[in-house]
Order: sequence, then structure tokens, then C-alpha cells
Amino acid sequence: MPGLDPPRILLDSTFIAALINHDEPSHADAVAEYADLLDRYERDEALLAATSDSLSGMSPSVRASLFAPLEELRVAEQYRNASLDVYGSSGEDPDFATLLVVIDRERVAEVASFDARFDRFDIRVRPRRAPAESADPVPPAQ
Amino acid sequence: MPRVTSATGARATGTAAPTFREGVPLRNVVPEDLWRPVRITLIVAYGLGYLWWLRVKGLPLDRISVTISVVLFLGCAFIGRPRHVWKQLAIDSLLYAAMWYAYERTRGAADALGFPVQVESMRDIDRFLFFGNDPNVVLQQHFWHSTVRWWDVVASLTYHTHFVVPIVAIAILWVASHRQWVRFMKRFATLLLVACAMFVVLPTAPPWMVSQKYELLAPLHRDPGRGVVHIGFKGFVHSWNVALGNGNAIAAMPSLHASFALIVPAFFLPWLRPKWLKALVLLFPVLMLTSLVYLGEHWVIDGLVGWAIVGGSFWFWNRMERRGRRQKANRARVALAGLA
Repeated sequence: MPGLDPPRILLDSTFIAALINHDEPSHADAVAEYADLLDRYERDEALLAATSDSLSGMSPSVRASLFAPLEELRVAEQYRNASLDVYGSSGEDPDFATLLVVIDRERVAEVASFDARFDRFDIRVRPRRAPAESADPVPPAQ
Repeated sequence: MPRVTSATGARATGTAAPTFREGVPLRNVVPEDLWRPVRITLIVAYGLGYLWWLRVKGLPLDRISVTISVVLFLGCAFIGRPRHVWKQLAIDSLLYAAMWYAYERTRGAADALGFPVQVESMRDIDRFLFFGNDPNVVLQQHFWHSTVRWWDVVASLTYHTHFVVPIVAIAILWVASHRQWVRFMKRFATLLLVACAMFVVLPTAPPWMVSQKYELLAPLHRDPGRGVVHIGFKGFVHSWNVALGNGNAIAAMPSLHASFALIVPAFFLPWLRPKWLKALVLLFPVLMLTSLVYLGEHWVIDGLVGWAIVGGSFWFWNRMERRGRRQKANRARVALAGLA
């Protein structure tokens, strides 16, 4: 039921990788963004989540510390089945297609990600950045 | 939601930025959950069926009937959901059933544990609060007539919402948000736990019993069902009389009728926007307590204590949840600082 819970913000694997890995170019942005998300979480203004796929393979100590506030969104078999229709028609890879299904079915409000593929979709992405140009951008006004 | 605007880009860069198409809505890409219309249809059918049953057979009041109706509802609402959701539902259901079982066993045994029954103390507290008057007696002297009046219907209907409103709230939350269901159940279970403890250590005779059995109060009529019988709901009066026979008659303090009437509106209050609506909704527990006192079922102090327990439960769990969020956030912040 929309509105009963604070907005759910999904941290995808690109964001998690950027957060954990100092060598990632977006590491500083990820740290700053996550600090902001933690403040929102503490004020009960946001729920933080990640898919079971993103969290699998993570060490228990990191899961219990850095990602303690995150709820795990289980990727159900029926989500993977539904993703077949997504990547079949749109050309997206299966993992990204499954992620789109999870975002839809689990009512994710925003996504924390550095994946430019989200720019094609009507999804709120954090940190906010100038999206990639579309295939045929409208020429700037003279 | 529209993406970037050219105005924003122009301000940021000082040059005219290109405009972009709006993003593709996710619903255009992700296939619809085909079970969703099935669930909606089944829930509507269930609702209609419940209303028909209410009219023809009466309100289900005993635990088994209520359990069956809740199970049927959950079946309609969860059909087609993922396996892990069903697994969570099974765990929740076991905990839910365990809670009610513990409540029923404790409530039923409370009057056999040897603590002295409070016969005059709550009457005396009410007299103190109302300047020497007995609210139950005053209300019945002024408003009780041999023929049913509209306020009898209101009082009787209000009284019987006790058997519906919390269950409906729990069922709706179960479907709408597991997180909110858990939050509600913590507060609800705490209320039941404290109430059962009080039933044990402070068994209290209700006003009708003090009047009829102990004769320490002016005569009181006791017929909480007469209002709803008057408007045609004959079925559940029979079930209610059976339910009464199985209950603990000296479990007046605290009033769970009054508590349940507060805990549901109080829980949903943050989501109600206009202040007048919040005030209106909070009139419901007041109406419930007034009805209970008029019907001779509870002392005023039973209701006030019940409300205080609800308040305490909310205070406690609000604190615990804030603390939990703070602890998790701080754990993450410490780890985050280690990454810098």
C-alpha cells in the first residue's frame, strides 16, 4: 500500500561496489551519498534495501556493519521468470532485467546506482547526475 | 517522473543544455503481475461474502470462526505471491496463533490463581473521579428505556466493533506492509501481555456483576446485544452469549474493549492528514468507553488504564525502534569512516 512505509531505496551492485572499493572512480560519491542515506534511514525517512543477489558473497562482518540497515529483497523465481520478457524484448542483460522486475514488484521508489542503463527508464536514481544523452537529443536552442 | 530539464542543465553549465526524452515507464518494460487482478477479485469476493455471512449468520466471534475468516482472507490476498512471502506468512501466522493461545489460556486461568477479586475498589475510584457519582448508574438512569433507542444501537454496534476492528486492521496490514504489521503486532502483543498480567494480579468484577451478584451498586441492566438485535443482527448474539460463557468475567481491568478501540486509530494516526480527521478518529475510543460504561460492562477507570497501557506500549516500541535504527546507522557510519 503506497504511503504506509517510507520510500524504499535500493542499493544496486554498482553502488555497493563503489562504496566498498577505494579504487572505484565513484567511491567518494558513493560514500557521500550513503552517509546521506543513513541520515534519512535514522530519521525513518527512507528504507534501505539490496537484492539477495547483491548481498550474496558479502562477508558477514561487512553485512552486519556497513550494511546493517539494509533489508534484503529476495529475488523470487517468479521475478526471474518475469525478467525473461524484459530482456527478451528490450535487449537488457538478464541480471539487469531481473533488477527491473524487483524494482517494480517490490515497489522500490529510488535506486542508488552508478549504472547508466537506468537513465533510459523512468526511475529515480541517486546520486543525481546529468543523465547520458539520448539516442537523438533535441538540438539546443540557438 | 520526468528526468532532467534543460533549465537545470543550463544553469549548471552556463550553456544551453540539450533536452531529453522522458524515461521509459517501468510498467512498459516489466510484465504485469498476472496474479494481482486475481488477488483483487478474490479480496472483493471475500468482502462481499463476509458481509453476506454477517447478515445471514452473524458476526464470527469465537476464536475458531475468526481464525477461519482470517485464514481465508490471507489465502485470497497472498495467492500468487513468491514462496519466500508464504514462508514469512507461515512464521507470522504461528506467532500470531501463539499470541492468541497464550492470551486465551492466561485470561481463562486468571480467575483461578487466588488473587483477591476487586469488587469495590474500581467503583470507588470511579466515584472519586466523578465527584461521588456512579457513571454506569447515572448513564443508565438517564438513557436506558425498556424500548430500544438509537443510542442503544450506537452503543451496541460500537461495543461489537471490538471483535472486528483490530482483526481487520491486522489483516489489512498483513497484506499492505509486513513492516507495519510487525510494528502493530509488537504494540498489540505488549498490550495483551500487560492486560493478562493485570487480569491475574488484579481480577476485577465489572459493574454489572457488582450490581447483580454483590449488590454493591444500584441495579444495572446488562444486554450489550440488544441494540444490534434491534437492527436485525440476530445471529451473532447467540455466538456472543456462547463466547461470554467461555470468557473470564472478572477480567474488567484493564478494558481491552477500550484499549483496542484506541490502539487501531492511534497506530494509523500519523498517516491521517487533516487535524479534524485525527480528532474525529480519536472520538472512537471515547465513544467506545462511553458505550462500555452505559452498558454496564466496564468502569471508567478500566478504560483509562487500558488507554494508558496503549500509550505505554507505543512509547516503549517507538523508543526501541528509534534506538534500533540509530544503532544500525551508527554501526554503518563507523564502518563507513573506516573506508575513508
